[in-house]
Amino acid sequence: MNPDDLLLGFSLAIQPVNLLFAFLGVLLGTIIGALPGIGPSAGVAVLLPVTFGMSPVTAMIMLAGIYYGAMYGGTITSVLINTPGESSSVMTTLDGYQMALKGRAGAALGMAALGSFIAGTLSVVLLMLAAPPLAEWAVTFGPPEYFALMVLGLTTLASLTSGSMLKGLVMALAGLLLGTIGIDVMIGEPRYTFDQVELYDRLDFLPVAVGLFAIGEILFNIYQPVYTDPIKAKLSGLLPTRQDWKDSWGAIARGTVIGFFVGTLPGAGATIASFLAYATERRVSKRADKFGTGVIEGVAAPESANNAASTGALVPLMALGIPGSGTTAVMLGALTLYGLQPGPLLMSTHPEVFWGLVASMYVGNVMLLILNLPLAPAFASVLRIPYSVLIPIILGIALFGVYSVENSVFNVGVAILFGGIGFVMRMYAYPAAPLVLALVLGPMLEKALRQSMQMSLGSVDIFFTRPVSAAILIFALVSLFYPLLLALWARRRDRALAGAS
Amino acid sequence: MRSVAFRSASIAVAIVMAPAAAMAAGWKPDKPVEFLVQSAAGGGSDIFARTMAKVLADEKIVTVPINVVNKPGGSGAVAYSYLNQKKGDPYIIATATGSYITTPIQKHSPVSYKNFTNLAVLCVEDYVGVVRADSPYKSLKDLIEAAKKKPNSVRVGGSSVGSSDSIIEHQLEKATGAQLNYIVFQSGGEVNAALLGGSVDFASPNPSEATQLVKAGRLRPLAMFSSERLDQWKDVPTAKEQGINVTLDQFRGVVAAGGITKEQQAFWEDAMRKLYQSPGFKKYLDDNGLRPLLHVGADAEKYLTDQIAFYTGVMTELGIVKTKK
Repeated sequence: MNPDDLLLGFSLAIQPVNLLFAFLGVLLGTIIGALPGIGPSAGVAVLLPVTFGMSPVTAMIMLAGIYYGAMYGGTITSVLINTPGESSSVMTTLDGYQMALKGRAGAALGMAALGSFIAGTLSVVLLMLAAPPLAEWAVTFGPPEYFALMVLGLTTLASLTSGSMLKGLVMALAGLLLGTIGIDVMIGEPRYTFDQVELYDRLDFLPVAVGLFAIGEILFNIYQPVYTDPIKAKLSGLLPTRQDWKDSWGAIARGTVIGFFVGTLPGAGATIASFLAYATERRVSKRADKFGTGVIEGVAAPESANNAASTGALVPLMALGIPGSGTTAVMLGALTLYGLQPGPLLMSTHPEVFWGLVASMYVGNVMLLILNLPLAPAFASVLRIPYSVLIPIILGIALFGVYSVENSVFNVGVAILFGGIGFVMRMYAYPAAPLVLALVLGPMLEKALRQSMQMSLGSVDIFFTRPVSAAILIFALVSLFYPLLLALWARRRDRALAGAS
Repeated sequence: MRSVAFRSASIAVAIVMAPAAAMAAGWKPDKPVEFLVQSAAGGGSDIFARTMAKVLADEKIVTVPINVVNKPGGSGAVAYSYLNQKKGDPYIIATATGSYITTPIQKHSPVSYKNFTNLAVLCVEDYVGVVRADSPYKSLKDLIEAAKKKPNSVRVGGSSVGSSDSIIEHQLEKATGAQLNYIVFQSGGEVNAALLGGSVDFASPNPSEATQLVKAGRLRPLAMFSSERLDQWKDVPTAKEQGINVTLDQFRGVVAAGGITKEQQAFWEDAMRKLYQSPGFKKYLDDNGLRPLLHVGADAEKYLTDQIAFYTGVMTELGIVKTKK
């Protein structure tokens, strides 16, 4: 890296017009992220025409701002109303919503903003220093490696939620089954679609998640109120404490690293990143049994990871012209519209675009922190409203969000159906997170498995002869059996001690 | 004889006069128009629609607001089912590309081109066969020879079965007798990543998707699947020139709901002609490496039926279309 490049970048980023559009981008991003439904990729696409008259640098600054801004905003509904707006915020609901029930929504949101800021800024450093070599590394990930990564994800799935592991497993399997609905990617044959054209493209994540989480929770609250009183805490009590910070900094650091590297992989993305970060935190934590009851590191880890992943996804986009996520695919299209040719040469032929963007992301993350920290208690105060008043508002926002993604009434029906299912699941303490995550991971796992099998013409050797996939699979096995081995070892030691005495 | 000639001449006059008459009669949209896109925001069709909407407005071809609406899903089935519900409504137009014909051929859609007013075909996209720069294959022939020597040893990446990539792959097999190993990825971006990372050996993206990777010396073009060499790729021989008779391109066009009046149809067809002539549209074609091609009205419908005949044949051979239902 040449320091002059960064200087060029900052000279562009601090121009008033670029500052203004960076601010507009992150502000719109926060709003888009906060609304369930309109995700960053739709947000970027809808606002694309607005950028037509701008210079490419300004336009990219604004679009990227929407993208990473949405990762900040996505936390809000997950924590406050148990509704993940995107699949990358499912993990946040687990502890975030529990914190809200305990009156600590402000702390959760504040820590999410802090974690996102740290993760966002550190990932920009990585993007700036090492984009080209990282992109080369990312494309070496082929189907066998993605398969191994998905297996690693799935092995931790059942143990993710507190409570019965058996129930978690059942839900994960149900999710995998639901994930087989739709047109088979390899041979183009419809499965379990019953001639409904809306089902050809799989069951969407959002209506299922909104149904199971938001609507199921509302129905359960009507049946058996969880929120007895509106929260009465003072505003000052709504910020993270020194202890919260102590509990979270490790999670933020690990979440950043996991999120960034997983984010650079074109076939993985923010969902897997947030998921692995949460699972990792649970593994290394001294209070693993408290996860799912409202521990702050359970919010900090996935929120840092999804933010780092959104920056990571810019690595293959800027260095090779290969989009690593739905949103970066839209940004790739945008670059073409501005008359730029995204590809390996972009960084040398148009250094101002890359460096202007990098510099603006440092600025944008600061803006987001300033925007989101004071907003945390403000949003948290929403819960001061009596629950009976909140219910119709939450329902309205949730169903509108579901409709708006694909302008689809069918999906509204799906959300209501899964709302009923979610209510029954909630009554009998079946966790929803393993189901929706398996719904997202299942098709990715299936695709990677079948691509690998096609590559090797049916031989499973391909998973073990490729070093990276072999290493990840072995790690998955160890992490699956490690708790078991530990328990065995402890029992043997106890017996030995008992024998000695 | 004379009277027949006279009659056809008068029909010709009538046809020539028709657009002018329609303009004089003047049906014009007087409220916002919906521009339906059958794929997600940010894809090729979406950019096509958003650019068109902008050019139609900038050039004052359409003076009411045009709202681009995405209804992705089911490879077009969701969007076109929706368009079918708007029978007789002239305030909606929609993008159409390969899936407009291939999805109904696969019987994955309850509606087909017959349900709609096919306004215009506006351009086509070509395909270029590429390998990694360090690949041992220097020509399409090399690649085919290798695949003949060891069946399934050459891995071909493409997106979905029934896509253009899969049709090129199948045509290559059929033309040469070689057996290739076709692997499905989700998108063009993923195919490019798999190609660079070595998971696949060959792919056939649109020229615009490959240009920069070729310029940077990362990919090597082996063959163009167009019938003639392209201006921007003068050095790349066509597959035909290399003795392998495989050509394919894919159209982009615009359709409207079925059952609209002649005047309404004439307005939209005229708008498509004006759009085609505009500098804004020309720039879009250049930026995206597309080749201009204009078929309007009955012409467009003829073009579509020819394409359908071709695709039905190839897709039946591919086993995607079951002969028995």
